[in-house]
Order: sequence, then C-alpha cells, then structure tokens
Amino acid sequence: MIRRKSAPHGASSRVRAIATAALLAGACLGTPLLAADPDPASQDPQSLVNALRKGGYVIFLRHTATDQSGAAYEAADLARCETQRNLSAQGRASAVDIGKAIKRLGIPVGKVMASPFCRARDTAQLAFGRFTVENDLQFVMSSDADDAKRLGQSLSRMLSTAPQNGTNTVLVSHSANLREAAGIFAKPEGAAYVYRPSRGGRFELMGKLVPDQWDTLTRRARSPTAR
Amino acid sequence: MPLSRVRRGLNALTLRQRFLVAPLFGLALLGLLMVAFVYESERQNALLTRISTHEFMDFELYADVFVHLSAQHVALYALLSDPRKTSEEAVYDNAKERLYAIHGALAKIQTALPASANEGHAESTPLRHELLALIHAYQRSVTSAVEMSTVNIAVAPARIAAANDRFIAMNLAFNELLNVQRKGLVSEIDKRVEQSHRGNLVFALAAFGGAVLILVLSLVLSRLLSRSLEKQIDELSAVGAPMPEEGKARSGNEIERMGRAIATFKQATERVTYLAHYDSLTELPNRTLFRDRLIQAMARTRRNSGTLAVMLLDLDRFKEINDTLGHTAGDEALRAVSHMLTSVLREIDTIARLGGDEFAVIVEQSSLPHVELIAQRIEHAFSDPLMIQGREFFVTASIGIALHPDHGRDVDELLQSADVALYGAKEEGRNTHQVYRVEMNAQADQRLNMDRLLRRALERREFVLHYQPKVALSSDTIVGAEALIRWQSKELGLVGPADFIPLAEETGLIVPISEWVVLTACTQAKAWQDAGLQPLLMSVNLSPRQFRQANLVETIAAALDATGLEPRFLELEITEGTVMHHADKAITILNELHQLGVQLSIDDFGTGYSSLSYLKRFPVQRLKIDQSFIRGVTSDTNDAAIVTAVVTLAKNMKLKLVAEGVETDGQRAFLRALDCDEYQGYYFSGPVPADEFVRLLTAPVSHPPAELV
Repeated sequence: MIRRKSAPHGASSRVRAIATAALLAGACLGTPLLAADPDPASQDPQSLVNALRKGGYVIFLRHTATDQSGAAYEAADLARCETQRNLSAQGRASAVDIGKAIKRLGIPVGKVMASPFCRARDTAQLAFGRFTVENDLQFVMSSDADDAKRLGQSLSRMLSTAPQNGTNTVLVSHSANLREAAGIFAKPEGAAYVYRPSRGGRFELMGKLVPDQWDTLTRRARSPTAR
Repeated sequence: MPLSRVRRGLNALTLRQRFLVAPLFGLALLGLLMVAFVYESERQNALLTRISTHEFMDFELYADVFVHLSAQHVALYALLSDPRKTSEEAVYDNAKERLYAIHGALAKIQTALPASANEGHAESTPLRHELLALIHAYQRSVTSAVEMSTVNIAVAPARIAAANDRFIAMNLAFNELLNVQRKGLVSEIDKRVEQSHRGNLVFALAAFGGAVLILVLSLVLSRLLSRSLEKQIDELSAVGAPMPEEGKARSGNEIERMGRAIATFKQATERVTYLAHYDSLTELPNRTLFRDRLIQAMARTRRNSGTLAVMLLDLDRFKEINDTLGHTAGDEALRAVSHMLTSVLREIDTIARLGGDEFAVIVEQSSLPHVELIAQRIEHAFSDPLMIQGREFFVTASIGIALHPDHGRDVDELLQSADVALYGAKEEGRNTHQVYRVEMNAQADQRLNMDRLLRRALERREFVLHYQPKVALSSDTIVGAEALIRWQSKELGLVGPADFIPLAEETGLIVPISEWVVLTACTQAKAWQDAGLQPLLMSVNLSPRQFRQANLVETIAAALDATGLEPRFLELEITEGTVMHHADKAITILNELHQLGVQLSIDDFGTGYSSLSYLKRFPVQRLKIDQSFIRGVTSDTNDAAIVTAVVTLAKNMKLKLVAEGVETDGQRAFLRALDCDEYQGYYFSGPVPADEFVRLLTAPVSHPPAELV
C-alpha cells in the first residue's frame, strides 16, 4: 500500500465536507446520467461502431478481467506487477480479443493512454500493442480524497479532449475513475464507454460496449452486410 | 597578600559592623537560595507541565483519532458485511470517504508515533515497530477490502472480516503501546518528581551548609573580635598587677574581664598616684605631697592673714635602732612614731614622712604659743616608750619649728628656717624643740662650715694629739697617758673635741679620725719607748661608733702591727654607756680586744646604766670614775660614798681604778686614802702636746696645771 501523506486534522474534516458535497453534487449530477445510463442491451452497438469508424471519440476502457484471488495483492507497488491485482488468463484473452475486434471493425485508434497499474498497461499492450502511461489514469482509490478529485477532473479533461482528426483516443483506466469523472462506475471489467468530447470541457456518453459484444460485432462485420 | 588585607579590613570594622556581617551575609545567602529554589521549582514545574501537556496531548490525539478511525471502520464493516444490500458502485460511493478518513487517521497516527516514541521509552520501541507493521497491515487489508468490493461485491464480507481482524490486532497493539507509554510517562513523572525532591534535598543541604558557613563565619569573626579584645585585656592587666592567677582571671566573658582589667588598671594608676604621694611604710604623705600641701596651706594662710607653723621632726639616734635591731624593728618604730603623731595632732594638720627618720607637720591657723604647746605634747608623747618586737624602747625626737609668714615667705625659705631650727634643737642636746631665730642661721652656717672643714682636716693634718698624764696615787709618778685629739683649724683656730667630735660622730667622720688617733697614739708611745723613756700605758678613747665598727679589732691590730707597739701598752677606754648599750654584743667585742692583748677600761663609770652582772663579765682591767663624782668627793657625802663604794667594788673585782677630773689636793688626798690606783686631772696636768709631756715625764711633778684648754 502506498504511504499517504497525513492530512492535517482540520483539513481532513474540511475535505470530508467537500468530498461529501462533491459526492452529493456528483450524485445529483450523476443521477440523471445514471438514469440515463444506456443499457447495453437496449442500445444499438452497430451504430456505435459506425460512429467510431468516423473517429473523434474518446473511449474509456476499463481493464479486463483480473485475478481476484489476490491475497498477495495488498501491498501494491506500481513498479512491480507481482504486487498488484493483475489480469487473469481470461482477462488477457479478452484484451487480445478486444484489440483484434477493434482492428477488424476498422475503428481507428489514435492515442492510447493507460493507467500505470499493470492490469491497465497489460490490457493496453495486449489490445493495442502500444500505449503511453498516463499517471492521472491511476486507480483513484489508491489516492486520498484530494487526489481523487484531481484525478476525476483530469479524467474529465481527457474525456473532453477531442482526439486527432479521424482517430479515437483510448483511455485504459479503472472503474472508480470514471465514477469520479463522469459519475459512472465502469463495470464490468473490460467495459468500454464511448464519449464524444465537446467544447467547454464537456463530454457526452454515446454508448457502452462490454467485452462479449465485441465478438458479436466482429462476426457481424465479417458478413457481407457489414460496412 | 589579600588575606592580610582582608584581616586588616575586618579589624577596622566597628563592633556593630562586625556583628552585622554574619547575619547580613546569611540573609544574602538565604535570599540567593530562595531565588534559586524558586527558579528551580518553577523549572521543574514547567518541565512536568510540559511533559504532561505534551504527552497527554498525544494521548488525546490518539484517543480522538482512534475514536474516529473506529467509527469509520465500523461503518465500513457494516457496509461491506451484507453484500445483498449494496452494489459495487454503492460500495465505492459510500466506502471511499470512509477509506480516505481511515487513511488520514492512520497517517496521523503513524506520524505521531515516532514523535511520541522519541521520548526514549526503550520498552516501547519493539512495540512501536509492531504497531506500525500492524497499521500497515490493517491499512492494506481495509483498502483491499474496499477495492475488491468495488470489483466484486461478493468478496466483501470475507475481505472486511479479514480487515476487521487486522483492525483488532492493530487496536490491541496500539493499546499495549499506549499502556507502555503511559507507564513510561508515569515513571517519567515519578522520576521528575523524585528529581524535584532530590533537588529540594540539595537545597535543604545547601541551606544547611549555608547556615553552617554562617555559623563558622560568625565564630571566626567573633573569635577575631574576642582575640583582639583579649590582647587589650592582657596588656591592660599586665599594667595593673603581676600576672593574675589563671583560673580566676579567665572567668567571665570578655566584657566582664575587660571591666576587671580596667578596674585593675585604675587601681594600679591610683596606686601609682598614691605611691607618688604617700609613704608606703607609714601611709603618711611623702615629701612631694607634703610640699604641695604646704604651698596650698601657705596660700590659704596668706589669704586669711593668719599664721602657719611647720615642724620638722628628726628621731634621735634612730640609726642605732636600725643598726642594732635590724630594719624590721626600725620600720616598726617608724610606724609607731607615725601613729603616735597622728593621735597627738589634729586631723586638719598634715603629718608627713619626708624620708628616713624625718617627719614633718603643717599646723595651720596657729600661733607661736599654740605650736609650742603642740611641740610639748609631742615630746610628752615621746616620753612613753615604744613597743618594738615586744620590747620597750625610748625614742626621742628633735623638733625644728618655723612660722609663716614670719620665718619664710615662700616654701623653700620656710623649710630652710625649720631645718635650721631643727639643727638648733639637735645642738641643744636633742629631745627638744627649737623655734627658729635669725641667729640660728649663723650657727647652722657655722656647723656647715665646720663640717666642711672637718672633712678636710684629716688630709690637711690639722689634727694633733695632746696627752693627759695619768698619775699613780701611791708613787705620784706618771704611769700612763690619755691621748686626746685637738683640731688646729686654719680657718677656725683651735677647736676642742667637744665642738667637733659630736659632728664627727654624726657624719661618720669619727671613724677615720679615730683610726688616726689610735695609730698616732701607738706611734707616739713606741717613739717614747724607743727614746728610752719609762714604759707608759697609752690610753685611747673609743667612740660609740668606733666600738660598733665591724673591723674594730682588725684596726687596732693593724695599728699595733704597724707601729710595733706591744699590745699591753695600749689601753682602750670605752664609756660605760657605750658598753652597757647592747651589753651582750659588747662582751664579745671586749673579749676579742682582750685577746689582742690590749688593756680595756670603762670610762665615765657611774654615769650610765650599769649592770653589775655584765660588769663582772667584761674582760676589763680598769674603771674610770666619772669626774662628776670626783668633783664633790670632799663636799658631797653622797659623792664620797659613791666613790668609796666604787673603789671597794673595783678592788674586790680586782679592777684598777682611775679617778677623772682631780683638780684639788683635797680630792687627791681623799683618793689616796681610799687606796685608789690612779688619777687624772688638772691638779697634775691638763692634756699637753707630746714634747710638753716628755718634759713632764722627765721633770718632777709640778703644780698647778700647765695647760688649760
């Protein structure tokens, strides 16, 4: 576990208040979003893919499935993957599949940024074969309240940043981060949330794709009715 | 030397200052101690307070933090224990605050731990490490519990249960640590309290030490004071009297002893003053005081236009008492005289002892008849014998009286007049008083003059011996000669022995004069023998003084040796009075003389107090009847009877008898008839010079006397 700096007595209560307020605000903000959380089954994944082919979206990709048996997981050291909760075999396969699917579907991928955690990096590596580490994408739960807020804001900025023309940015991060930034607790593992960045730091959720869906989409694309 | 300077400085302090030094010093010391004590006390208190507030602040902090932590943990526990009631998002939303709070609390505890542990409780260090480890363990497990729950809610209960176990372990460890720390703190406080107590003890000791120091200082200072006082006392005491007995003298404190020393000193001063003015033997005023009093009395007398009398009193023949009885008897005599005088005179009159056997009296408001009356009273008192050493002695005095202002205007003149009057009294035969007359001066001058001349007479060979023949009554031939001294003074002319012998006796000049007489007589006798004249007995008078000389026998022997005269041709005549005076001693002397071989005769027989019991013991050959008896032998039946008796006595005692002062034939005849042995007198011849004597020896008997002196 990372040693956190001590917060002064008075400051932490203040932070707590602010955090609570933020939580409430987030909850208030997020409730409609929650309410508006598109059910994966109800939305049309194909149109999402078609949009994605055109580019100009930011994809928030939660790392794929992890090995949860980790009793050894408790002292996480970013430098050493063996101290972290890492991708399970299934997760790894899943990551590979997702990458293949994205390529097969012709979705252009521009920048790939991953959280420094191994599971994120592995996911990015396995899926896209390349990535850059973005520290602000690290698991928000490993920080304190102030950091959490900051990371949330950072993620928000990233989500609202338009990618290069004709590409999509992929952010490989964690569940809680999206909760902080967008009010959505990203789940399950490997879920991808597509956001359309707009001016003024805003971003709009277009849709969500879970790992299983990629496979279906790929098979459909292979058919002649695709494109 | 700073030490000597300090000592000098200390000695210069007054008594009050000295007595203040120690207490002041003590007060200063006490003040210092109190200040130090208060300061140290405050320091200790501050330390204790600091410890307690600081340490307990930590405890409070812990308590606060832990309560908070526990609350968060319990909430988390509740949240994660029942997964059915919640979802991953819900867990995330609810738990993260709690998790962050837990993180904060743990961080606080962790940072606080080392600080509090640095208080140096050795026992707590392993505990602290253990606690830190447990904190980390709990932190990881609770974080992982929450994280895993956000991944898969199903694992929440197990995870939170594990975290709970860690929490409990941490709690226990923390509890133990706090216990240890509390114990450590308590022991620390105890130590501080003990230190403080020790500090108090140190102060108590310091105060005690200070008190001892003050005491010592006090003792030292008082000792210095005491010692300097003692030095003064000793010096003062030494002046007063010979060293006093140790035990008594050292009693009492310095002040008392000082007082005694001063009293002794005063006594000594008084005594000195007394001694300066009073005669120690008789306790009468001495010459100095007498003179002072006389001056004052004279001044008073002048103011009152009255008369003052001065009496100078000399004891007659006091030297004899001193010489024969010794000085103790002499002192007794003087004391007796002074008592007698005191009883006779008025209290206002001053009696003084001027020295030796001289007394003086000042009689104020007097007159001539009055002072004469007093003199008579004194003489009357002297007529009673003095008791000296259990024996009676008759002492008489010569008194010279002078009046002021008649006989002297100032003190010296007055005393001079009294002295002259005294001399006059002596001249009058002693045991009398004389009032000053102007004529006396001449007498005194004469006496002084004669004294002066007499002293030179011997060396100027102004003495000459005349010889009076002694005639045997039976044969009418000269059988002896009495040598009699004459003084051919250039200034005074021929001076008879009656005029200068008494003076010679007084001045002691008689001794060398007598020696000369003996020597000259012996020489003359020898010369006559050598000239072929018939052997004569040469008689020489021994004065009382001469008789008392210690070397009398040696002198006679020496004269005999020197001249070669056979002792049997020398006769020594000693008056009855002289020989009877202290008769026992006289016997010894007479015996010694007798052993020399000289002849001895008792002169002026019948005039003194003869003791017949002594007479029979005296080794004398002749008695010389005093001329006073011979003068009346034909006219006075008593004298005739006495002479007859004496002749008979002498004959029966086998003593030769010489009659003195035979001036008539009738006397001669009477004596012849009594069968008296020899006579001497103007009937035959008076004393004549040597050549004249020779003529007498060789010529027949001639009448009347050849020389009348």
